[in-house]
Amino acid sequence: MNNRFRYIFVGFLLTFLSAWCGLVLLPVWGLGNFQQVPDPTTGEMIPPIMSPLEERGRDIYIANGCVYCHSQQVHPKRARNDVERGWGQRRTIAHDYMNQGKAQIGTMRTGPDLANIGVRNPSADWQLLHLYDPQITSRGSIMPPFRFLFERREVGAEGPSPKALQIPKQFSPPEGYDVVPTEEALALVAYLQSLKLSQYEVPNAEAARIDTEIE
Amino acid sequence: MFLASMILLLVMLTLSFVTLLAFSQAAANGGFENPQATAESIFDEAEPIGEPTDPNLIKKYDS
Amino acid sequence: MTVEIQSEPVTPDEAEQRKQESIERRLEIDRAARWPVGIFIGSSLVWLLFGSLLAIAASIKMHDPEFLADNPWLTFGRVRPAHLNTVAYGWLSTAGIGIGLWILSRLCQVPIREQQSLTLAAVLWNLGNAVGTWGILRGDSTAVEWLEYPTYAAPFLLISFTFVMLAAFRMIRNRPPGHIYISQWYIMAGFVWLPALYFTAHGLLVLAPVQAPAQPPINWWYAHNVLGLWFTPIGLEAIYYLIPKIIGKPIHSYYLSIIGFWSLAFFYAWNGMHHLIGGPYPAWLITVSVVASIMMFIPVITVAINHHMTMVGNFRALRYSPTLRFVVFGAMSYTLVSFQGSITAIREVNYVTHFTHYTIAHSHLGAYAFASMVYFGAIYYIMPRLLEREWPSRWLIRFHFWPSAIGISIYFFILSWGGIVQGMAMNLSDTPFMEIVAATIPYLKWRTIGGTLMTIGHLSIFISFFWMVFDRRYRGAEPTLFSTKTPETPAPLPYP
Repeated sequence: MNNRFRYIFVGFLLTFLSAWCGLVLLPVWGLGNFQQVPDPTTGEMIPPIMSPLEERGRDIYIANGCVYCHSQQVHPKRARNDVERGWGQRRTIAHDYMNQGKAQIGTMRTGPDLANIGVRNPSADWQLLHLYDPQITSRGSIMPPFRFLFERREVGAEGPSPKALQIPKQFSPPEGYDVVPTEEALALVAYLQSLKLSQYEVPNAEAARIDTEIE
Repeated sequence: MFLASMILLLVMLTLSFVTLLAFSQAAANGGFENPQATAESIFDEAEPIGEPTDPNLIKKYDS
Repeated sequence: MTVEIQSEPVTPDEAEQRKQESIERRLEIDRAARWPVGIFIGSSLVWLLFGSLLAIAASIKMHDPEFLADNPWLTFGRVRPAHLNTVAYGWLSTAGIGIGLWILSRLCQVPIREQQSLTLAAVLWNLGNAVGTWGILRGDSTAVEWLEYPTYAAPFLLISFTFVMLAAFRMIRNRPPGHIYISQWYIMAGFVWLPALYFTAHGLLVLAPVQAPAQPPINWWYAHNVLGLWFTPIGLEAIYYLIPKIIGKPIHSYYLSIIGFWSLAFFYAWNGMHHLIGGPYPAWLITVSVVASIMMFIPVITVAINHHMTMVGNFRALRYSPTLRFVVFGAMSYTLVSFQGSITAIREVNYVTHFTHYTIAHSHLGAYAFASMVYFGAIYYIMPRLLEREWPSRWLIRFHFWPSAIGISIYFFILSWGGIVQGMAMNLSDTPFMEIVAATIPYLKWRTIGGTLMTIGHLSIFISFFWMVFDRRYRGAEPTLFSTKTPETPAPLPYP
């Protein structure tokens, strides 16, 4: 690496390093070590820690790329009408995500935001039907059906499974079969039910510490 | 966060200083002399300035 | 040796001898590059075609959710990242390495000697892509945008890239003293930045993830910079080399190109956080990227002036040169996509366009209309010199350019419009969500049409390439130009 190229090379490293410090190192320092805080009213530690089942559900969410159509972030009122749409009672702040393990905040809203889907639509039956075939619950949706997370079983002598979905006539499998959610489908729904990212009162100290405006 | 910002500020100042140093060294070593000659350095006798390369490719390999 | 153009007059015999020497040197360089560069470019075209098929599948799924819905390997959430990664790492990066190595070898005047290690690098690189794509489809995707390849694909890519870097550094070290052309800066910068980006991001997001709130900033630092500090340098480097070479005129202002380089290196690296506008982050973090995005006007305007002023007076070369047509299309798209990017980073604009198909259209303008088109042009320039053979058919090249150009235009304009409609309805009104979904479907169908046209173009270059490689008849044939008429002797140039 003779003569002049050395200085150019130093330049490559310096420009890169400057942004590396600002956009990698600083976020890791400032946004990478949140602690749980007690809820001002109930005293419970928030945000709650995910159960193993919910974590498994999150991994299924990741494996099937839900994030490419669903964001998990509620924006402040001055930016968008997320709050008016009922996607959360307040914007989400960095602290809300501390126990998510792998952030799925997303950049696309082909489908609605899911940051607080556990509040907005807590029904497991609804979620399972929607995953099995979105047309059942949301006519005209372009979400793909996740039938591969369900098993179609022949109804034996002991009758239909207690876990079987109650599917409306025009979507139901042929006579003598029922549809049973797999473990994966149940884990995914448990994860969706756990998504209540901005359902808590803002931990004021945390918001102030990272300099985030709530409105 | 405050401490982190201060450390970062220091890092940034150091980086800026190194940048200036590298820049002045590059200038002292002739990095900014006659830049247009560098623009012309990609041409040579076989592919001189003023001669499009695409239509003339065949001549190169035939000779 | 770098040959001084304005040297003292020589006798005709000496001039002829020098000319012969430089022809010999060029032949030696191109022959040494034949195998390593050829294997990178050839395999990139396979990935291009595969990635296009995934793209069409994903696009159809967007308006017909029942399409291939029952196989978990082909669900939308896996096909889409598989498409992104195969085109980003399989097509753009593989071709980028090939193009970068060839131009570097020419500019350094150093023949590539690492035949074996670079061949191994190409094999490993393709293995890494294959393993990674397989991983995504089987359900091991990391769902970190632009970094979906699971960890077991990363070692292949990093080892392979190390060989590429070693070869590149040897060429830089062994080059004769003298000028360092701007393309060499861009190539070396890209070759240094990509592994640094990948290593940091893969480590902090996948291998040993930091706490979740810190992940999205690193994710978007990476995702934006892989475009800005890898695809863009390789694309610009090719433009800076090819336009002057094809029309036979040095770059308009070399000073501007230096300003362009350093402002790009500095500001682009800070751009990523504009993908998080409105997100759960402190205002300063996002503002810094908004500022850097606006500052991108500096490198973009300098590059635009430079490329355009070089082209002025030579536009007729677009009539006959396939390479130039692709490269100029790419250079113009670069200006367009960068202006659009800077404006989209303004908060008030972003409130409408974020979370919509507008962003997808924008990224295709960058990755396809700019980067891919320039790479296509470079491939059309490099391959005849590498193989000492000509492209078999000008019709196939035409049948590449027009479907690709029309396809991306349909894709970009219609999908951007759809994105604005979607964003207005979603963010600024209380239209029920399902109605917004229904309103976007026509635009999504047009996207499938645009994407199909682009794929037809890809099929053409794919056929062209392998026809050329396997059919020896084209050795030493007349150059394949669009216009059969040999261009008249170039008029005196405005340049002194």
